[in-house]
Amino acid sequence: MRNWKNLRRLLSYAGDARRQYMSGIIGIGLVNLGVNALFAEALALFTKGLMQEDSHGLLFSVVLFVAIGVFATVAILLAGRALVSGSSRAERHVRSAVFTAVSRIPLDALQRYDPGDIQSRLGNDVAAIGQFYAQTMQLLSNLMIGGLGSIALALIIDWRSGLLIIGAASLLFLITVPLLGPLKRHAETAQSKKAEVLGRTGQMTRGNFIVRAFNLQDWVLHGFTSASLAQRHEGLLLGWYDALRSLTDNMADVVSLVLIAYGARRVAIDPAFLPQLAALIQLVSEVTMFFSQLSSLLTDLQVKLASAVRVFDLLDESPEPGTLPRPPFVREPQAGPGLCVDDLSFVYRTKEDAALQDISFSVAAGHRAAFVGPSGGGKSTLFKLILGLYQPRRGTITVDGHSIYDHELSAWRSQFAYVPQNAFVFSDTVYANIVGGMPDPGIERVEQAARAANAHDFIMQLPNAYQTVLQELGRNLSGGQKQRIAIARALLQDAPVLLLDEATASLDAESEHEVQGALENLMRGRTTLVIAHRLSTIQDADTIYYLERGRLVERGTHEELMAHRDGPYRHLVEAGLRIPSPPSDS
Amino acid sequence: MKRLLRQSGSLVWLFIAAAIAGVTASVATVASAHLFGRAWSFITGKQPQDVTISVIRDWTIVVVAGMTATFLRKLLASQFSERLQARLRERVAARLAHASAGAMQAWHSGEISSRMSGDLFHVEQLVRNDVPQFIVQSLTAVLAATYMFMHNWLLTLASIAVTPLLLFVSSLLAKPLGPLAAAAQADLAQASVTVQEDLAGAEVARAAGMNGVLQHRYENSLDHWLNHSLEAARQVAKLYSAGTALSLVPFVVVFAAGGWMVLRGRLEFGMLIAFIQLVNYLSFPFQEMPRLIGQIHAGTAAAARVLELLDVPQERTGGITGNLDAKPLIKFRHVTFTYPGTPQPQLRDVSFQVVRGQKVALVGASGSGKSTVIRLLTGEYEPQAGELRVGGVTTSEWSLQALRTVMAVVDQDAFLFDDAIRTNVASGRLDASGEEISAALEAAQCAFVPGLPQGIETSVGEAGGSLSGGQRQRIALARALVRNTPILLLDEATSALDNQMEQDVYTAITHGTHDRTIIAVAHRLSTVKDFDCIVVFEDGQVVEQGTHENLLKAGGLYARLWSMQHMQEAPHA
Repeated sequence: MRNWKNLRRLLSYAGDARRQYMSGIIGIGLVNLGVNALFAEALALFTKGLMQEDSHGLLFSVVLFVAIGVFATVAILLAGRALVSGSSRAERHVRSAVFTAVSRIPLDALQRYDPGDIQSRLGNDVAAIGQFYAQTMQLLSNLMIGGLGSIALALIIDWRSGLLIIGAASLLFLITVPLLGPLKRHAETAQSKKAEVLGRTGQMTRGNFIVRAFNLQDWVLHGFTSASLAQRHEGLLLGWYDALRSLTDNMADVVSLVLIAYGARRVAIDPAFLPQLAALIQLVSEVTMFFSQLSSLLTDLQVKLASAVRVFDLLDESPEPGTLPRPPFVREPQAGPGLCVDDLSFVYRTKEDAALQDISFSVAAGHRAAFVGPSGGGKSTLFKLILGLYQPRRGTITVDGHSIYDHELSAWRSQFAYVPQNAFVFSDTVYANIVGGMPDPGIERVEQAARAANAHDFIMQLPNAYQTVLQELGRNLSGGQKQRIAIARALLQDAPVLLLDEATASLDAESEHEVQGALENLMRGRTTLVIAHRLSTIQDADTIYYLERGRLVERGTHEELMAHRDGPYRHLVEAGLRIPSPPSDS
Repeated sequence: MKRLLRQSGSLVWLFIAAAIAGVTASVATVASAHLFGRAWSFITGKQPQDVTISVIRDWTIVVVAGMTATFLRKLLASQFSERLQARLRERVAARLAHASAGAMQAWHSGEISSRMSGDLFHVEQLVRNDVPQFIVQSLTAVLAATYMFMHNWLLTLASIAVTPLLLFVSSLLAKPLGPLAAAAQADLAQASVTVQEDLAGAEVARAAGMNGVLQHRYENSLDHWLNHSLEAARQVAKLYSAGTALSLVPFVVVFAAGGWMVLRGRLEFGMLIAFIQLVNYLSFPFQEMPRLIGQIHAGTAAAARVLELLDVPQERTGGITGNLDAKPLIKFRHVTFTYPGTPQPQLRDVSFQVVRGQKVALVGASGSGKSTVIRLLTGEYEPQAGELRVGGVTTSEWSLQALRTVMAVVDQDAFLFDDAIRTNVASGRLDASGEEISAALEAAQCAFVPGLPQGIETSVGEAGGSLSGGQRQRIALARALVRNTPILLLDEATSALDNQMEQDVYTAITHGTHDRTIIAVAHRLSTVKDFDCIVVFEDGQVVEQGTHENLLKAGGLYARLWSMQHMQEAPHA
């Protein structure tokens, strides 16, 4: 059964804590069984002692009780500790594995999920798995080992009464079976409503400026309330089914009743049955608990396994391949230094039109290539493909004659310094943000890079300078400051190829000038690809490529392209070019 | 806990009804044990069958009553829990929606997420399971003890003699659990922050090979969490075994002393049986109690974290409306402003004014205070010194809602809701008609929209979704335009657009209405060259202002910036 496979998989995540965990689980069950069995025996002896007015027998049974107590105390301490420790460790393994998986999922697979969905899986579903280890398995053990053991014991003591008890209890259990289906359905729906509410909460928080600025409080709350009420509705229904199912919790009393009624008749005929009756009465609660908890255990298991499956979905996503697989019909890479893109095509999974088609160009070593064109034309996509963040449908990318398909992605990416459109900073120290994924090069080199990016001064003005922790999305920095940190990171990387995606668009003229100077140093002798809107950046390029709707429409030097009177490049330049007033003479 | 009760309001009656049902169930439990004892006495005393049967019949009635009561208790508890949770969620959401800018600055969205999911879950456990169980089980214990006391005070006393010790020991052992649970939850919240960033910055993380670093941070948080959890685990195990040991003592006492009494004829066998049943109820709660106390501690710690969200400072309400015909429309007079929690002022002694219908540009180095001007204009923050008047009234006196109705903002990040394009644009003015929305999209140069798979209904996708940065910016612009306000505030609203498109955008919005006042934070000086006034910022101060021509003639900072930008733009020889 698929559930069985998932259960085994869940347990396998206990990993190195497996032995500790299993011994805890089984231990708890065995203690349960042992205590009940001995207790029933002691009770039988006790009753016999009273009936036969045998004070020695009575004393012996009391001593037995004490022994049981001592045994239970010690055993629970050991097994309990093993159980809870083991389950914490197991949960940790799962959390670790999940994070690893998520950080390796290829981008196009990641974008198929709603962000709220992933958050919910990582939060709610993983927490459910933790509960599985801590509680569900414990319940399972108690029922399987303790419960089944008690059933066996009841049959051994007196098979007729045993059957009676089992029969009565299982009948009551069967009554709850029709409830299980709706219970599971509503539990799952409730989970997905929870995810939706969480998603909206996140949006309200992240978009709080817009909410205030547009007086959208009521609008946003209206949507939230609908989602919240939907969640509540599911929860309330679930509550009904759960309460109905719990009618069987008093099962023990009903079964005891039946047993006593039978026992009364039997004792009238055979008084020696009395001690056995006493033992059986004690076992009734264990047997009925087995049946009554069985349904809630099954339900709990289903809910937990559903959570586990949602987490497994993430774990099972094929990670980014170590190396990009070669698509069919790839031409052989050209030898030679520099970057070469040949016959590149790509489509986003969520869009229908090709994002890039038939892209071929090369950038000689140390040269600069500029990419221009209307927004949405594919320039950013091209860079992401060059970085191996997405898999091309066709075509190849080579650097110094080495194809992207022949290299490990991590090695391939280390050839590039990438400064993206929206500088993303992590809520860590400024220092850590600049160092990024590199091994720590020391404060001197970091400061050097920061100075070159014109960031050192403002960093020193922050409360803890380089050790200042940046807030989420770098909220305590302006856009331009974030850009400069990203540029410092790129400078520090000192990679052979530089990819600049509108890096300087959100800097003002003054710092843009200074960063431009630093970038010029960085670009000198280094292969550079730059997406920019500024004419100045473009003009110094060795070749300019005009991308529109995923195709390379024009290419050439600035002069060559300007010579095309009706060319799109020329139109773009004329729109952006202002005739400068000469600086004042006085 | 008390605060939680106060939040419940009228829902408390559900809880009380659940409690009453629980009480009934407890009474039925004890009555059931009593009748069990009677039946046993009759069996062992060899009473006639019909007498025994009549006792069994009474017993049946009690059991049925007990089952009904339990059903009601669970149902009512779940009703209470779901409704309370919904209420808490909605109140927190309302608090967050109306929160002040300064308040939201301090909260990380991963933290809020963690409280609204993980912590709220613990509150559910608390309210639905742990507290009702605690009530029922302790009440049953009390009733059982009372019954036993009435029938044989000596035996009862002997069996509960150890109780005080048990309670003392278990509360001692349970004390560290609350703080440990809180610490563990905090560790998880920290880990949640890392995960969120890994998702939001997925591209950068991979491109820069930062996955290792992030993983390291995550593992660190997990290590802390594990340590706290293991410590708590050790404590819980001690609690359990101590509870078990001490809870068995009453049993042993009842058996030993009770057995002796039955032998001596001082106690009916049936009564002893009833006692043994009831001792079950005395000892079972003591075994469960430590765990429940631990859970309740964890639950109240979680509740405290959720309730903290209810204290998020709100924006102020009330205020008056200004007069948009006032001259000047906007006036900054010696405004000095520092963001709360930062040492340096963002704006220093800033003075300038804007006349209705003017197009004003704010330029200067990044971090020089330009965006802050916009945050002050929307009333999000108030200056510490000086005065900022809009329509003749200071922003502190304005009704914030009215103030924002006369403004439309395009933010730096172009934040869009995870919804359709149409919905996003319509959020600019909720009563906008379809034509008005289309017109706004057109003015904002959003001609790409009809070409999308679902056209205007295409979902935007939240961060880094299916649209490019420039497209998102234009949609944000359309949202502001559809609002059709006298004042338009643009905070680097065209940074992701190429020159041509930016030009088209400015043409569309400046030729819209003559009356419209525009304040634009801009980097590309060429964009705003034709504006009526350019205000130049440096280090939070206004260093010069004027028209493009005048500023060039003045040869100050602006002239320098301009020539730098245009040296870069001049064609090569």
